[in-house]
Amino acid sequence: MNGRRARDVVLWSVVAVNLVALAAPTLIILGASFTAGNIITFPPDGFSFKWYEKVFASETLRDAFWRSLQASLVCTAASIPAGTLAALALARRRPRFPRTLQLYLLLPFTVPLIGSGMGLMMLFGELGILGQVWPVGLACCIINLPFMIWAVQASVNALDPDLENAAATCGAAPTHAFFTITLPAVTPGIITGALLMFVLAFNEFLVSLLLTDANTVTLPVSIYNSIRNVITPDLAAVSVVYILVAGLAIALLDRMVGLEIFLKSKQS
Amino acid sequence: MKAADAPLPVDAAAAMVEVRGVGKSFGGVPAVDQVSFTVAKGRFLTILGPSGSGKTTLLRMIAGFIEPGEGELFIHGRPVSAVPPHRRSIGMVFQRLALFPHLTAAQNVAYPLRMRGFAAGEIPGRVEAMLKVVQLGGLGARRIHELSGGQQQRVAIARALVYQPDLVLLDEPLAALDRKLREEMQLEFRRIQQELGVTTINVTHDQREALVMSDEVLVMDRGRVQQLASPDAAYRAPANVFVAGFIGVTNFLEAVALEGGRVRLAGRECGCGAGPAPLPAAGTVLDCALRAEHVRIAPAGTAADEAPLDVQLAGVVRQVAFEGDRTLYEVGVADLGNAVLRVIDRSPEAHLGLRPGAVVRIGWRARDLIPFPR
Repeated sequence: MNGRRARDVVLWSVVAVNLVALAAPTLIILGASFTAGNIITFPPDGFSFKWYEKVFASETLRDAFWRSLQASLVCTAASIPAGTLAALALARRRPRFPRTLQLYLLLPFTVPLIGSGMGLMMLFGELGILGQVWPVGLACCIINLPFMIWAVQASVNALDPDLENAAATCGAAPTHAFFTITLPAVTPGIITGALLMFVLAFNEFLVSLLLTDANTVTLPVSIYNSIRNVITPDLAAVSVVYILVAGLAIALLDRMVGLEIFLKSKQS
Repeated sequence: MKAADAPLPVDAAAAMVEVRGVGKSFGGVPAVDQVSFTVAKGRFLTILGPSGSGKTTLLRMIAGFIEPGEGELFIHGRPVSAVPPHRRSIGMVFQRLALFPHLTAAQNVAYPLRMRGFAAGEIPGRVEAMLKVVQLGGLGARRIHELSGGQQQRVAIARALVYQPDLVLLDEPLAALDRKLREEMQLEFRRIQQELGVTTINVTHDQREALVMSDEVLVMDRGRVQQLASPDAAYRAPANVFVAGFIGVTNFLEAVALEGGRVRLAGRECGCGAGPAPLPAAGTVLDCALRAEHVRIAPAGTAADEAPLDVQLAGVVRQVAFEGDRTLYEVGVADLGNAVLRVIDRSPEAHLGLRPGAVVRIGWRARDLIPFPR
């Protein structure tokens, strides 16, 4: 066996292991959710939809789902203007200390989530806004904003540096140029970032755990509360619902960033 | 420095663009220094210079992206320093084109018409007509990334010209194209420019482009105007050593001025042509420019060239670069203190046998040696 062949074998083995390792948890939970038995097992014990029926019948889980959705929408709505403007400012305005600013914007990643969670808990408590759902969304926006900034920055960096100048020589005043040229040109990045922020907020657990009470639990916190008692197959069913939401977001992203191009060509 | 010192025109209204004593420094270093010139309506001016000569800074001041540190700019006789770019009547083709990526070719061309308040009903007709002028008829619905480099170039040109601005600026838009396409687009743009009669200022470091496209060439170096002349005059009568060296392939030989319009060159007395200034007093050191194509080359011992050569010297070929329609030789000349002369031979087939090491005879006519006082 020559060296090239050996390298191929090693490479493809690693890829295969990675693929299996990445898919395994999802496949196992998917299988376990259809079990007909009363405990969570893999391979599943028979096949039924009964755990899904139980999940959809559960008021606690349904309420938690809607609250998670609400928090995610707040997070997405807050992160679109904040992240877009920050990314444009960083890439186009050449701030005084670009590296320091970049590092500062990375801070949410370096502080452990339990730390930022407690900080936000104290801050929100001080402001008297704890016990509502929207501050959870705001918190998710704060801790995940770097993702939004990165997504938009990638779009901005791909633009011609003279794009706004070109709009100006065409007769567009700066504000007008921003809305008719700059913003549409970075829209793919905004859509990518917004969907990412939505999924991250929908999944966010640790910070929500600290910011919610019995009346405002979000879905991940609700699942966690159940696990503390006993792990039943209905939790596997909830997880599958989760995977579907994330999958939907990714499909939507693929569609919209492609779709966006389609929409633009129909304009004017 | 001819242009910088030239008197301002009496009739400022005749000039589409007037640049008067304009300067700009970045961090205390002058990028553009006391530049003055005018461009008459319908003319094509090229600002030619090496990178760092200040030519792009100058163009961006005319466009309004950079504010002049000193001096004033006039378009149509109106001072424009306080006018923002979107209120100046300027179309511009950018270095990387800066086409709007989310719009189609037709929407790109329509954008300036919409911004400048053209009636919605007449926009499609104007766009289609303009796309025809740049030979993109029928391709208007294509998105920018679906077009080839040359087609994108044409969209950018159409977008700059469509609303008939007073002035069009070109910021080296052809530099990124491959040579064949670039030369095609040079002629193409010149055709469109003459068809529409639009006043144009072009910036380039490509001397060939400057000579091919322009009515006038403004040569810049280190922020200052070196010469403003027709392409023909800039080539045949360079104003100084910089211009002589920047345009064309030029040899420089040190000489000393003598009485009676003659010079001493490496110990021998010979005649010379007319420089930008009369020859200075005898004994003054001169730099003499000698174009590579004005030097004749022939194998040693062959019959004399048909043209009477005033200076003839022996040399040894150092290097040969065959370029198809011409051959560039580097010839070491012992009589010139072992100076290496670059020689362009326009009829390569006549001397195909010349290889490095060959002993040759070179010569030139006195009038082709252009003296510049130091």
